[in-house]
Amino acid sequence: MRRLEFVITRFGSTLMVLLGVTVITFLLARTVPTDPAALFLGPRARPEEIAKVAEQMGLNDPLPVQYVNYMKELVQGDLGNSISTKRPVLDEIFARLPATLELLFAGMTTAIIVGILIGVFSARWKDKPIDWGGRALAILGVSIPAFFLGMLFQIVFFRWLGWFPLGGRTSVDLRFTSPITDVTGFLVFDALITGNWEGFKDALWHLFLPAMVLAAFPAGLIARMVRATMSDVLSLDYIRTARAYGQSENLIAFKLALKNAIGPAIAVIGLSFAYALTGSFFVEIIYTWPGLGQLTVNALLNLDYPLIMGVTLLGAIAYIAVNFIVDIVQAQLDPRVSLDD
Amino acid sequence: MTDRVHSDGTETDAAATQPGSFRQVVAVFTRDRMATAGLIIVILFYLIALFAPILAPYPDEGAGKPNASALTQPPSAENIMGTDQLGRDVLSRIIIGARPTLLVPLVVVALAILVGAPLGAIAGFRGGWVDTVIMRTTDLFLSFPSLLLAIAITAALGRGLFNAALALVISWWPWYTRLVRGVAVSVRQSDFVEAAEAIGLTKMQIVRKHILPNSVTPIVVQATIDLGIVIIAMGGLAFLGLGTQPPSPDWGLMISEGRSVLLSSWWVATFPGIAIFIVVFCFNVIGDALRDVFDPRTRR
Amino acid sequence: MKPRVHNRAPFRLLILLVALTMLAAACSSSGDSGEGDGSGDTTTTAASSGGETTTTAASGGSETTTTAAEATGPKVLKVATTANITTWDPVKSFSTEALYLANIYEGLLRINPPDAAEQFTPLLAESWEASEDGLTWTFNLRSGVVFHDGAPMDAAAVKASIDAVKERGGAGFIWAPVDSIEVVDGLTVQFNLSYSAPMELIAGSTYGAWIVSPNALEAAAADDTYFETGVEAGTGPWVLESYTPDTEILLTQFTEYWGGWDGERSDKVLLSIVPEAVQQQQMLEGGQVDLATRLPLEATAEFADRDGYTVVNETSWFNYLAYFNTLRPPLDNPKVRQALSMAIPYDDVIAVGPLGLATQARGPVPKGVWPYSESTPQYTQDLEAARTLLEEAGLADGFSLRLTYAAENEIEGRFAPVLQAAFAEIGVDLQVEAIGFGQQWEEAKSDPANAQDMFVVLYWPTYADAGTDNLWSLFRSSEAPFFNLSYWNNPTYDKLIDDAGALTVTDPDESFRLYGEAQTLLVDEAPGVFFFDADAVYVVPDHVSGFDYNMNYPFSLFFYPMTAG
Repeated sequence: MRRLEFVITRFGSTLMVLLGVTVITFLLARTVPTDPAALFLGPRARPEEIAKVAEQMGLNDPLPVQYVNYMKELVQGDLGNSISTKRPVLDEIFARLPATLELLFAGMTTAIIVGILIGVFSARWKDKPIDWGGRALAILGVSIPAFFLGMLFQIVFFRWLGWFPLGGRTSVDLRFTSPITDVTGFLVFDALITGNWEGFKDALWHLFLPAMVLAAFPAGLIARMVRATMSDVLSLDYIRTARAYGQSENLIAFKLALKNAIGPAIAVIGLSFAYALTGSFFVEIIYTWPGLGQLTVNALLNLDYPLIMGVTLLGAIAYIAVNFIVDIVQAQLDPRVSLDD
Repeated sequence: MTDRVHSDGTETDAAATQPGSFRQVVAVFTRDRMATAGLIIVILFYLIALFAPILAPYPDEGAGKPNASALTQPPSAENIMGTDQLGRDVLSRIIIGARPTLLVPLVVVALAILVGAPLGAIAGFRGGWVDTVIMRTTDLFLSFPSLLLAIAITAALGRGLFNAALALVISWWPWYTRLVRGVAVSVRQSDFVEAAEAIGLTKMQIVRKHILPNSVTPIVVQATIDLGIVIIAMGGLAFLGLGTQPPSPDWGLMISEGRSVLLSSWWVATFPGIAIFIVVFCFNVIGDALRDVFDPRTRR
Repeated sequence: MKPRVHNRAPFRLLILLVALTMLAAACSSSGDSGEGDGSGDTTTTAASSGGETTTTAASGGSETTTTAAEATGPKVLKVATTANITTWDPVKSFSTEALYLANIYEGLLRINPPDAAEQFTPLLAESWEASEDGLTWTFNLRSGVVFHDGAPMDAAAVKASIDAVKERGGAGFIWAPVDSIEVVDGLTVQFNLSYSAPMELIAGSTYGAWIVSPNALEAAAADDTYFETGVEAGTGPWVLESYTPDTEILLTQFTEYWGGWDGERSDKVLLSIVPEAVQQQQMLEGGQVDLATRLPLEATAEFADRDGYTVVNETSWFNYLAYFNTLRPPLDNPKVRQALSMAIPYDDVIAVGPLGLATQARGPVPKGVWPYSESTPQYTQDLEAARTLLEEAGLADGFSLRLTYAAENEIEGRFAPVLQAAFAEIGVDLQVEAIGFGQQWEEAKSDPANAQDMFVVLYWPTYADAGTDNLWSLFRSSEAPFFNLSYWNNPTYDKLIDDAGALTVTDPDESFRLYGEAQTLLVDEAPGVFFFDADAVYVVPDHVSGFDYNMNYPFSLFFYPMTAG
């Protein structure tokens, strides 16, 4: 009962935040120095045309009216049209979304696994060499900007070692040898379920470096958090009791403590996601990964505001959704999470 | 809960944060040699930034003047870190570029504190609807991934170092509001505030005399950690072409410029990359050491 | 007053905007610039079905879709390109898709490179002649040519195609001199002009001169988006087999091509859209592609020294210049403009900007294009003379100026600091600012009085006549500034180029003389500063044969004669 109530309250406040987020993106789009109508029509527009379009776009209405109209379109899934391609922003975003999601998914999964492993090992052997190494790795992860690590990996793994490709999602030849059938848009997964072994290998081979670069920062965050919470848990009474009963230290660390440390670790996943999302922009540029990041960066150059704000809005919505889920999961895992905050 | 997670992933459980004093901060550095080394290196980098025009071997080139006779030269005795595509000494570019790269984030964090901290103190101390309004607003800003919000704001305001810095301030202040509010709430609940009220101190006086001083240590700790993150964010904006504009140098921008010659002339991007890494790494080492002492979660 | 230029002007921008970064692509090996360069490509993002879906061309290709089984079968020429498709509509096309359209469609004729024995190659027209007064042009068409959709190519199709371009084409203005088109008989078409103009050059234009199947034209007239899913109906050697937006384009042989398929030919051409120069370099080195249209500038020098590659280096249409804002002091004074022109180290600009792969410009007419003249003067760096001029202008103490250049253009970004350093030598403080080309252009056009002092631009003629284009569009006065963004107003110059333009066909020698006079006047008055004509540079691996760059088609490569052995 209380749990359901919690979910509903949380959902309600999430909706309020979402509403606020739309206000911010709306206002940002209106802060743009250039007249949106002029931007939309492009440089060859005549003043009277601009005036006409401004009227059509409702730019002469008072701001609150404009906002209501903006929201009306928004709930119908209309984010306006891209200035450079004239296609609906949502179409542009959805065309690029699978590539970004695949990258994010691979990066976040890696980050969570690696982060938890490092954190647990560090905590288990606190203040031992393993801990030192683990902590150093964690700090390393949060200290190298993705836009530098990506290039570093290209030099090392492409130029020097020749183990991985420089970028792209697949090899050019794959088009002829074993084209991947589009099912979900996740190429690695699609190749796997259609039994396209060559395609699977090729897509995974291309995914590896970008996913690793993307994982570095969140993995560092998660490792630190897991280490901190694990250390706390390991000093709690029941762990001491378990120790007193002669349970092996490994069993204690990996079973009892991990179970209790995972909840707080999940708390940091939301934030990790935020960093991974913005990190993917840089990774996509460096690895010519045809996703949202590339789309956004091009939009920045073209002053394609509808597109920029569309991506910002969707990024915020995704982040809010992830946080919402994280909260619910945490509440499930940890009955001590209170409802009053 | 996630609402309390700070920008670096630590939980801002300020209510439980021990007020701590500067003496303790100093103690951290006398005990932890890694942190001390980190601090020295950071100070060194900031000194370099301050005295950049004196220290740079080729200050003109550092500021952007091309040298047509030495395009993309590998490291040599003359140019220890080689030259870039415009023939400019990479070392000089790094030294001059230390200014926007390192000093601007300092200003950004300071401004974020200046805006965020008083709001947090007011929210925590006043409570009621003031608290609600302020905290809902911070929630709103924090529901965007910070860098994404900064990108959108810079895009709306126009590219350039000033706008990029402004965008980061707008994205960053809520973290400090949240932090200080936690302190304020815990202070308000303590006895001596009641006593203070009893002797007739005004609310503003209480905020000034009790809440803000108690917030100093957590703010300093947090700011140290944030600096590293803001340096990366700032570099990221420059990398995207939204921050410092060429031909002025900036490490993020230099990395971006070096990308087109990455495979043939690795030094152009690698040295500024290493520079940014070292500084951020040191900030993180210092931050970790501070956190070990001041964050009750990891303290014994 | 000639109507043609006013018609043209608005459309010019589209291509300038879109293809700004393509300078690199077209002069090929020019650079890469990280995120900056992508923009040109976005502007051109295909306006058709998005994402990862592949659309198959609904035209008359005889080949079926490639499957894995055929992998070793067809002889495929693989090319990495940066060119996105803004439209598949050959009538509207005025952008980077010319690379693909030039292989699918054909015009009446093709203009040969300047060094060729013949000036033209007949394509759909076998021969043509002009009347004495240059007002009537008759084209005799090739018989037996069919479009990919099976329709016969005839006079009616030619008339329909050009009428469509005049009506709704991106480059419709090129046909402005044409008053009417008459179908004389099935294979003879006659153009009646309202004023004389070099029709061969217009018919050989890169844009707005494709001959399209009447069926498709009808369908497109009814439905604006008819072509956009990847439909085509040309007569060219290649059929569009499939198209994946932002990813790849597959061309396959049109078996009924009038030129035939004898000799060494490729079966298919696979074009991968790869915006990154570094990535293209890797693909070329790794043998993943046979040809890369854009390589990092620095890489071309390396390839020149390596076995197995030939570097093709030719002059191009790409002319770099900067406008001075002549409306405001101090740049309203010709002496100041001359002083600034003399302060520039042109060799350094060329060494740093395009890495030496360019020639100092003689005014705004690119080398190899009518009416380029070797007698047009050039400035050379002379700081003493520059200082003297500034003193005469009463500006010995210096002043400051603001220069903008296109953020998308890597070459401009590289040489802008050279100008900054050079101007500092004569006490002029130059602020350089990189902004998007569209923004830069908007600023110059909308508010001349407050616009930037200097505006760096990359310009090229729409078709092979820089008299009616570059000289006219860039510097002839007009009431509403469009591309004459130095706002220069010189009646003598205006008259010279108007007269010269009218004599292009009937008295080329006199026309050339007048143009020459105009160019000398222009350089002397210096309403702009002229940097260089960039080279077109291609790296061709030895196993590729039949590669031929034609400067008259700066955004195209012709795959028909090319094979990868």
